[in-house]
Amino acid sequence: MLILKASLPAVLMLLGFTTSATLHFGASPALAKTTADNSLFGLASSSDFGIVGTVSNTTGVRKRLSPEELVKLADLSKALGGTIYKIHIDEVVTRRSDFGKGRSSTSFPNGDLFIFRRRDAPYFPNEFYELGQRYLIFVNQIANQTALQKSYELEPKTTYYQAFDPNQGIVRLKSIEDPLVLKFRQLGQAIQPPDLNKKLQRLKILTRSRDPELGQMAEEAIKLIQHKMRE
Amino acid sequence: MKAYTILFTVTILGCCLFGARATRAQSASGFTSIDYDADSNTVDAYSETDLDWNLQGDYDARVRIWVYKNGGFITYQETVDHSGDGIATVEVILSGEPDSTYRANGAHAALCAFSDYSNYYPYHLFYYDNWWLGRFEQQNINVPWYYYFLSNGFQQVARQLKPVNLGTTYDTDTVTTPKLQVEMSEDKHIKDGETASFSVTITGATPANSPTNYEWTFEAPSGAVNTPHVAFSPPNGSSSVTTDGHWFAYPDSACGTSFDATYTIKCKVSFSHSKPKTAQTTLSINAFWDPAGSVNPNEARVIGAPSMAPDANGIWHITGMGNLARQIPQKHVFITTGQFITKADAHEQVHVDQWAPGHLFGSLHQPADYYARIQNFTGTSQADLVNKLTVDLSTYTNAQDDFYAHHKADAETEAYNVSDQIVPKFLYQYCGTNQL
Repeated sequence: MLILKASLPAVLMLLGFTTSATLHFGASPALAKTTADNSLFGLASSSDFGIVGTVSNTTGVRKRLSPEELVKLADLSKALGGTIYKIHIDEVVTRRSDFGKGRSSTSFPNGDLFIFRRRDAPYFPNEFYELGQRYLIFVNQIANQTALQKSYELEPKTTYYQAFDPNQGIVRLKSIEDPLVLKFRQLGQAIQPPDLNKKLQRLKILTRSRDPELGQMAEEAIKLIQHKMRE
Repeated sequence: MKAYTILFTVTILGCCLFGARATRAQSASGFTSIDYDADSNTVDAYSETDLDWNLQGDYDARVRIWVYKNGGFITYQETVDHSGDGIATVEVILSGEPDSTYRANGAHAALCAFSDYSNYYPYHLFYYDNWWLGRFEQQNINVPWYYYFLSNGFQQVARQLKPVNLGTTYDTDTVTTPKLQVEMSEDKHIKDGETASFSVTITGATPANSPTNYEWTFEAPSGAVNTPHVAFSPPNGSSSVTTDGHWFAYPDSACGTSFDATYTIKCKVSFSHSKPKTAQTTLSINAFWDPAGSVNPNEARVIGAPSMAPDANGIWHITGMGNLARQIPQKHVFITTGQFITKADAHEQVHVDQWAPGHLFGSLHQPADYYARIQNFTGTSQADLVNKLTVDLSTYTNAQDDFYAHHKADAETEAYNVSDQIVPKFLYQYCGTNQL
């Protein structure tokens, strides 16, 4: 797939100066937009979690079909539902709840998070996770888990997630100490305290970072927290 | 006594009448005007010096005019009347230039007609100023529009200079021609390979000062590469044009150039009677498609179903390959216009070719492989058998996907190795491992 990116930070920086792209789902071609609608801060604050994890297993999942539907199935591939990626979490780096946006459950049985990718979902090359590889992934819980269970043969007591903004929100890592991870880790730790004043205090320190992107994220987080305090 | 009284009275009245006529009539006047006629786009500056009939013969009329535009001198003319009728006129006609203020200054003078030579030291030539118009010279008269230079009457005055400068009049009815404006249509943002339209709108033009040509040009940043150019259609002579959309690379960097190329578009409009005016705008050409193309591996799969039938005991068996077949992904190129279609198409074609036998993914999703896995499956019912088949197809497909994921980077490397050689090389190039 021919895509326009070098690395996530580089692309985001470039997009910030020039233009940014948003993928359009469906058949229409993806066209460039002229407004920046993605940012590192957006990844952290708008996803349920930002995690660093390793793909420990992949499983093919069928659509849930009745015996009658199975008998009528002239093309077996119509039963293909998708893939479950079992991600063993090394670290949760960001939580949306820390940004004052909703609540993020931190209960991951056995430290695993399950990503379900429908086979007929819009295609993002990044979403082909490789077994044994470590990734930084920003995820959201898939809405309406009950309906999901009805449509696909999924484990009933498992919560399934999907990648948030797969173009930007999935980064294959060579090391857990990847600079990008360090960036989000610092932001996540700064904003973690429940006390809003404490959050602000820590974020203000981050604004003085020599890393301009981290400083920018901290600035945006401060605005968000200050807005929260005025509510 | 009575006769003497009458004679005296008549004499006094006659003197009064003669004197009164003399003091009222021996005079000169001058006026200056300037006007602009929009229909003909002409500025008409006029000045005139008039001598009363009593002065005629003793003096010749002279008028001079200076015309200024926006405070700067542009022309001068002078006329002397030698015909003896005492009227000197001068007229200057100019083409008006837009947004300009014109002013005319007229200088009025009487030229002494008679002269003599002094027999006494220092033996100089002198002129008769018998109506003593020279008294105006020290008054520095400079008034708008019109002035009446009233003489004191006949006197014996001599002077050394022939011209008697009376003073100046100037036109206060200064003229500002309509402001000529050329405005360009708004800036345009298009994709590489698309077209854009521009037009100029002119205000303040007149039939006498109308546009005569439109010259369209472009500018690109210094240092821009990939042959910056804009083709205008028609090239010149029209107030409206259509352009092509050719993205240029700036800065000159394979992985650091901007997706947006912004030209400055200029139109120089020439006019029949004024200086050309230029208007400008921008044309931004964007070459950003994300993705530029794709070959979706999710489309790859084994499709169809094997043939199956129950035996005498009602047990369902696989009886053959049926219509099992291999489906490979299709190529999708999302770039619709411009210079990068070929590059994107070549890149995605490599990805398609990778699914061909003997290539990177040539062994994936093979019906024979799947059939080998399921050929001995049985079911207590057709539904039971199909259920087992779909379970195994899901497992098989997942294994193929894992293989794909493991070799995805190799696949991209292959594709970039081909597409990176295709010009233009500035975008859609391999720029880092995260692309793989």
